[in-house]
Amino acid sequence: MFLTRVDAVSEAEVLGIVENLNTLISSASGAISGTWDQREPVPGTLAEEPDLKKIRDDFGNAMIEQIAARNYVAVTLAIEMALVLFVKRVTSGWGGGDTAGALREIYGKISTKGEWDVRVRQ
Amino acid sequence: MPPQEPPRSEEIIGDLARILMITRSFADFSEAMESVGNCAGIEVKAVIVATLQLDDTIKAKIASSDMSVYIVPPGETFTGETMTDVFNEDGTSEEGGERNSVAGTMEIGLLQRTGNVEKILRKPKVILGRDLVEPEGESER
Repeated sequence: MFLTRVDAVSEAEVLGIVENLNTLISSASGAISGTWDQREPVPGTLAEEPDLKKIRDDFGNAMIEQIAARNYVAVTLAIEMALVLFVKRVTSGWGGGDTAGALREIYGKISTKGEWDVRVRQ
Repeated sequence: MPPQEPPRSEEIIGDLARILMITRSFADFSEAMESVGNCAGIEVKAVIVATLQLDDTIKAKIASSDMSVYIVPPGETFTGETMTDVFNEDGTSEEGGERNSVAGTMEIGLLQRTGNVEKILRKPKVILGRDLVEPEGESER
Protein backbone atom coordinates (compact mmCIF):
# COMPACT_ATOMS: atom_id res chain seq x y z
CA MET A 1 0.00 0.00 0.00
CA PHE A 2 1.25 3.49 -0.73
CA LEU A 3 -0.15 6.94 -0.35
CA THR A 4 0.01 9.67 -2.93
CA ARG A 5 -0.45 12.99 -1.26
CA VAL A 6 -2.40 15.44 -3.36
CA ASP A 7 -2.35 19.17 -2.70
CA ALA A 8 -5.65 20.98 -3.08
CA VAL A 9 -3.84 24.23 -3.89
CA SER A 10 -0.61 25.06 -5.68
CA GLU A 11 2.53 26.50 -4.13
CA ALA A 12 1.91 29.71 -6.08
CA GLU A 13 -1.55 30.02 -4.54
CA VAL A 14 -0.13 29.70 -1.02
CA LEU A 15 2.46 32.36 -1.83
CA GLY A 16 -0.35 34.55 -3.14
CA ILE A 17 -2.15 34.24 0.20
CA VAL A 18 1.07 35.16 2.03
CA GLU A 19 1.61 38.21 -0.19
CA ASN A 20 -1.98 39.33 0.37
CA LEU A 21 -1.55 38.89 4.11
CA ASN A 22 1.63 40.98 4.10
CA THR A 23 -0.21 43.70 2.17
CA LEU A 24 -3.04 43.66 4.71
CA ILE A 25 -0.59 43.87 7.62
CA SER A 26 1.07 46.88 6.01
CA SER A 27 -2.33 48.46 5.40
CA ALA A 28 -3.39 47.92 9.03
CA SER A 29 -0.11 49.41 10.20
CA GLY A 30 -0.63 52.45 8.00
CA ALA A 31 -4.13 52.97 9.37
CA ILE A 32 -2.87 52.68 12.95
CA SER A 33 -0.08 55.20 12.42
CA GLY A 34 -2.79 57.83 11.97
CA THR A 35 -4.03 57.17 15.49
CA TRP A 36 -0.88 58.33 17.29
CA ASP A 37 1.53 60.12 14.97
CA GLN A 38 -0.20 63.52 14.99
CA ARG A 39 -0.97 63.52 18.71
CA GLU A 40 1.17 65.37 21.17
CA PRO A 41 2.53 63.21 24.01
CA VAL A 42 0.21 63.18 26.99
CA PRO A 43 2.18 63.97 30.16
CA GLY A 44 2.20 61.35 32.86
CA THR A 45 0.65 58.45 30.98
CA LEU A 46 3.75 56.25 31.02
CA ALA A 47 2.80 55.20 34.53
CA GLU A 48 -0.39 53.74 33.12
CA GLU A 49 1.25 51.45 30.58
CA PRO A 50 -0.65 48.21 30.79
CA ASP A 51 1.18 44.89 30.79
CA LEU A 52 4.56 45.90 29.39
CA LYS A 53 6.04 42.47 30.12
CA LYS A 54 4.42 40.87 27.08
CA ILE A 55 5.72 43.63 24.85
CA ARG A 56 9.20 43.38 26.42
CA ASP A 57 9.18 39.63 25.85
CA ASP A 58 8.20 40.06 22.21
CA PHE A 59 10.31 43.06 21.28
CA GLY A 60 13.07 43.57 23.86
CA ASN A 61 14.03 46.61 25.93
CA ALA A 62 15.81 48.49 23.13
CA MET A 63 12.63 48.48 21.12
CA ILE A 64 10.57 49.70 24.07
CA GLU A 65 12.98 52.63 24.45
CA GLN A 66 12.61 53.55 20.80
CA ILE A 67 8.81 53.34 20.99
CA ALA A 68 8.85 55.50 24.11
CA ALA A 69 10.97 58.02 22.17
CA ARG A 70 8.18 58.03 19.55
CA ASN A 71 10.55 56.82 16.86
CA TYR A 72 8.21 56.42 13.90
CA VAL A 73 10.10 53.50 12.33
CA ALA A 74 10.20 51.66 15.65
CA VAL A 75 6.48 52.15 16.34
CA THR A 76 5.61 51.04 12.81
CA LEU A 77 7.84 48.00 13.19
CA ALA A 78 6.28 47.16 16.56
CA ILE A 79 2.77 47.35 15.11
CA GLU A 80 3.71 45.18 12.14
CA MET A 81 5.57 42.76 14.42
CA ALA A 82 2.51 42.43 16.64
CA LEU A 83 0.46 41.44 13.61
CA VAL A 84 3.21 39.17 12.26
CA LEU A 85 3.47 37.44 15.66
CA PHE A 86 -0.30 37.03 15.66
CA VAL A 87 -0.11 35.26 12.29
CA LYS A 88 2.71 33.05 13.56
CA ARG A 89 0.83 32.22 16.76
CA VAL A 90 -2.38 31.28 14.94
CA THR A 91 -0.69 29.25 12.23
CA SER A 92 1.60 27.47 14.70
CA GLY A 93 -1.43 26.54 16.80
CA TRP A 94 -1.74 22.83 17.15
CA GLY A 95 0.96 20.85 15.40
CA GLY A 96 3.88 22.94 16.49
CA GLY A 97 6.59 20.70 15.10
CA ASP A 98 6.66 18.03 17.79
CA THR A 99 6.06 14.43 16.81
CA ALA A 100 2.69 14.14 18.48
CA GLY A 101 1.67 17.42 16.93
CA ALA A 102 2.81 16.28 13.51
CA LEU A 103 0.79 13.11 13.86
CA ARG A 104 -2.28 15.08 14.91
CA GLU A 105 -1.77 17.26 11.89
CA ILE A 106 -1.55 14.27 9.57
CA TYR A 107 -4.60 12.63 11.11
CA GLY A 108 -6.35 15.95 10.92
CA LYS A 109 -5.63 16.16 7.23
CA ILE A 110 -6.95 12.68 6.64
CA SER A 111 -9.99 12.95 8.85
CA THR A 112 -11.14 16.44 8.00
CA LYS A 113 -10.40 16.43 4.30
CA GLY A 114 -10.97 13.77 1.70
CA GLU A 115 -8.19 15.11 -0.43
CA TRP A 116 -5.64 12.39 0.03
CA ASP A 117 -5.52 10.03 -2.90
CA VAL A 118 -5.26 6.68 -1.13
CA ARG A 119 -4.45 3.73 -3.36
CA VAL A 120 -4.00 0.13 -2.38
CA ARG A 121 -1.58 -2.06 -4.28
CA GLN A 122 -1.92 -5.81 -3.78
CA MET B 1 -4.44 19.68 22.41
CA PRO B 2 -7.90 20.93 21.46
CA PRO B 3 -8.23 23.30 18.51
CA GLN B 4 -7.71 26.92 19.44
CA GLU B 5 -10.54 29.37 19.80
CA PRO B 6 -10.85 31.64 16.78
CA PRO B 7 -8.96 34.87 17.46
CA ARG B 8 -11.03 37.92 18.33
CA SER B 9 -10.20 41.30 16.90
CA GLU B 10 -10.55 42.91 20.36
CA GLU B 11 -7.54 40.91 21.58
CA ILE B 12 -5.34 42.06 18.72
CA ILE B 13 -6.56 45.63 18.97
CA GLY B 14 -5.66 45.44 22.67
CA ASP B 15 -2.12 44.30 21.83
CA LEU B 16 -1.75 47.17 19.38
CA ALA B 17 -3.17 49.68 21.85
CA ARG B 18 -0.62 48.52 24.48
CA ILE B 19 2.20 49.39 22.08
CA LEU B 20 0.69 52.80 21.37
CA MET B 21 0.35 53.53 25.08
CA ILE B 22 4.15 53.54 25.24
CA THR B 23 4.22 56.46 22.79
CA ARG B 24 2.22 58.48 25.39
CA SER B 25 -0.28 59.46 22.72
CA PHE B 26 -3.34 58.52 24.77
CA ALA B 27 -4.60 59.49 28.18
CA ASP B 28 -5.70 55.97 29.00
CA PHE B 29 -5.89 52.44 27.60
CA SER B 30 -9.58 52.56 26.67
CA GLU B 31 -8.95 55.66 24.56
CA ALA B 32 -6.12 53.86 22.74
CA MET B 33 -8.35 50.81 22.17
CA GLU B 34 -11.15 52.97 20.81
CA SER B 35 -8.83 54.89 18.53
CA VAL B 36 -7.22 51.76 17.06
CA GLY B 37 -10.63 50.14 16.65
CA ASN B 38 -12.06 53.17 14.87
CA CYS B 39 -9.09 53.75 12.58
CA ALA B 40 -8.02 50.21 11.82
CA GLY B 41 -10.78 47.84 12.95
CA ILE B 42 -11.65 46.87 9.39
CA GLU B 43 -7.99 46.30 8.49
CA VAL B 44 -7.42 44.18 11.61
CA LYS B 45 -10.43 42.01 10.76
CA ALA B 46 -9.08 41.57 7.24
CA VAL B 47 -5.76 40.39 8.71
CA ILE B 48 -7.60 37.86 10.89
CA VAL B 49 -9.61 36.52 7.93
CA ALA B 50 -6.48 36.19 5.77
CA THR B 51 -4.59 34.53 8.64
CA LEU B 52 -7.31 31.92 9.06
CA GLN B 53 -7.30 31.36 5.31
CA LEU B 54 -3.54 30.81 5.37
CA ASP B 55 -3.84 28.53 8.40
CA ASP B 56 -6.49 26.40 6.69
CA THR B 57 -4.48 26.28 3.47
CA ILE B 58 -1.14 25.17 4.90
CA LYS B 59 -2.67 22.71 7.36
CA ALA B 60 -5.48 21.18 5.34
CA LYS B 61 -4.92 21.86 1.66
CA ILE B 62 -1.20 21.23 1.36
CA ALA B 63 -0.46 17.58 2.01
CA SER B 64 2.72 16.89 0.05
CA SER B 65 4.90 18.97 2.37
CA ASP B 66 4.77 20.90 5.63
CA MET B 67 4.55 24.63 5.17
CA SER B 68 4.93 27.10 7.97
CA VAL B 69 5.08 30.83 8.49
CA TYR B 70 8.71 31.88 8.78
CA ILE B 71 9.70 34.91 10.85
CA VAL B 72 13.03 36.00 12.30
CA PRO B 73 13.19 36.62 16.06
CA PRO B 74 14.68 39.95 17.19
CA GLY B 75 18.41 39.72 17.91
CA GLU B 76 19.32 37.24 15.17
CA THR B 77 22.18 38.18 12.90
CA PHE B 78 21.21 39.21 9.39
CA THR B 79 21.93 36.72 6.64
CA GLY B 80 20.88 37.45 3.08
CA GLU B 81 20.30 33.78 2.35
CA THR B 82 17.32 33.51 4.66
CA MET B 83 15.91 37.03 4.96
CA THR B 84 15.58 40.34 3.14
CA ASP B 85 16.55 43.74 4.58
CA VAL B 86 13.45 45.87 4.05
CA PHE B 87 15.60 48.98 3.53
CA ASN B 88 18.02 47.27 1.18
CA GLU B 89 16.09 44.78 -0.89
CA ASP B 90 18.74 44.38 -3.55
CA GLY B 91 20.51 42.11 -1.08
CA THR B 92 23.76 44.01 -0.69
CA SER B 93 23.43 44.45 3.09
CA GLU B 94 26.59 43.69 4.97
CA GLU B 95 26.20 40.48 6.96
CA GLY B 96 27.17 39.79 10.55
CA GLY B 97 28.16 42.14 13.35
CA GLU B 98 26.16 43.71 16.13
CA ARG B 99 24.91 46.53 13.92
CA ASN B 100 23.33 43.98 11.63
CA SER B 101 21.20 42.22 14.19
CA VAL B 102 17.52 41.93 13.33
CA ALA B 103 15.19 44.34 15.17
CA GLY B 104 12.08 42.61 13.92
CA THR B 105 10.15 41.03 11.07
CA MET B 106 7.82 43.27 9.03
CA GLU B 107 6.68 40.76 6.43
CA ILE B 108 6.21 37.07 6.97
CA GLY B 109 8.06 34.45 4.98
CA LEU B 110 7.09 30.91 4.08
CA LEU B 111 9.09 27.78 4.83
CA GLN B 112 8.52 24.43 3.17
CA ARG B 113 9.71 21.17 4.67
CA THR B 114 9.61 17.98 2.64
CA GLY B 115 11.07 15.09 4.61
CA ASN B 116 14.30 16.48 6.01
CA VAL B 117 14.72 19.10 3.31
CA GLU B 118 13.84 22.70 4.12
CA LYS B 119 13.30 25.33 1.46
CA ILE B 120 12.44 28.98 1.95
CA LEU B 121 9.66 29.74 -0.50
CA ARG B 122 9.52 33.38 0.55
CA LYS B 123 12.07 35.20 2.65
CA PRO B 124 10.75 37.29 5.56
CA LYS B 125 11.49 41.01 5.35
CA VAL B 126 13.25 42.40 8.39
CA ILE B 127 14.42 45.70 9.81
CA LEU B 128 17.94 45.80 11.21
CA GLY B 129 18.70 47.38 14.56
CA ARG B 130 20.91 50.06 12.98
CA ASP B 131 17.93 51.34 10.99
CA LEU B 132 15.83 51.96 14.10
CA VAL B 133 17.95 54.81 15.35
CA GLU B 134 16.87 58.15 13.95
CA PRO B 135 19.25 61.09 13.47
CA GLU B 136 19.63 63.33 16.52
CA GLY B 137 16.69 65.66 17.02
CA GLU B 138 14.18 63.70 14.95
CA SER B 139 13.12 61.15 17.51
CA GLU B 140 10.69 63.40 19.38
CA ARG B 141 7.72 64.12 17.19
